[in-house]
Amino acid sequence: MPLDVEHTYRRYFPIIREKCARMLRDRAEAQDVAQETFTRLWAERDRLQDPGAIASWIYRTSTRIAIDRHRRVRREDELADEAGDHTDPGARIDATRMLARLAHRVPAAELEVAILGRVDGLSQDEIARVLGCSERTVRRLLQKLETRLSRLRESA
Amino acid sequence: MTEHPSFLQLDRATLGIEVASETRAHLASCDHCRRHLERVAEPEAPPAWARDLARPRRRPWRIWGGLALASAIAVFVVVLTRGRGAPEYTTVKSAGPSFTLHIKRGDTVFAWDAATRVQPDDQLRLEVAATGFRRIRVLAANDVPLYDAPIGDGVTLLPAAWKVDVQPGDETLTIVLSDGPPTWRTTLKLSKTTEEHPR
Repeated sequence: MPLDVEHTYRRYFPIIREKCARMLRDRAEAQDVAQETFTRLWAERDRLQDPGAIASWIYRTSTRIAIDRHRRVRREDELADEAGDHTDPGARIDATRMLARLAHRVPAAELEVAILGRVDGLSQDEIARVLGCSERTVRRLLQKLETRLSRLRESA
Repeated sequence: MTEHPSFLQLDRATLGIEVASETRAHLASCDHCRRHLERVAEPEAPPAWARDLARPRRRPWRIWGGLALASAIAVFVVVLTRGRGAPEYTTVKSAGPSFTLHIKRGDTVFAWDAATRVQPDDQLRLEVAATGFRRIRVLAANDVPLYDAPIGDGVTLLPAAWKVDVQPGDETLTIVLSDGPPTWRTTLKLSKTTEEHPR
């Protein structure tokens, strides 16, 4: 990775910014997550060299930061969101709403694969490479998520 | 038209990484995907916070034992302890943890210099090098928990930030690092002003 922060920013920040904007409805929050992702990328610059590996790292890290933030969101926000939203939780996607609604109900690993698959459009093979796990693990996580969403639909 | 490639594929193409021939063919005919490529290819000048990353790290509280920190922040309280109930293991790991407290005031972010007074609405955020410890807890006054999570090697910018309230009185942040005994613990006292003035 270039050791020049300006070059690194120009090359990678727009990718981070767009990725975060897809995940987060609040513009300021998306900007915060993008900033944190870039800060971490800069801190890891000695370890990350290959642009392909950096792209995967950006997807993995920004997704995890976004999930972490949503899991800390106040419970009231989630309830208020639900009050005005009666869409099918398994329906295809309002990504930001999915994050907001499911962050407290779904394990982070399942949310990760859901965001990478449904929001970013990654194939199972791509998700496996980004997360450093097997495709089988990805399939298992997606199956567990579907089961969980089915239960939520039934209880709704 | 073929199905859209993933955003990762598009971003890899932006970075000049070889993409599949189907992806290239798709990009030649899909306005939607081309617009994404144009957005991520738009030059954007780095803002101040990004340029600041390249400056030499200020580590006013680099700790190689407790005394360095104590002298650096003078009036602040530093406690090194294993934690309640087992003081015989009081220690700091040899390479020593370190941290930087970032203060976000409006659009400006700066590292606390142990003298600047915090103000209401400032956002405080810790960056920690845990040096082998695996768990971090951050506590407010009276040990009210603010953050508790595993922490990895290297320097970690904690995902949590805390806003300074308008209540009078100083702010206290206590950082506790542990992986089982021994525990590393330090308490910062940040004097606060509610008057508006430059730092």
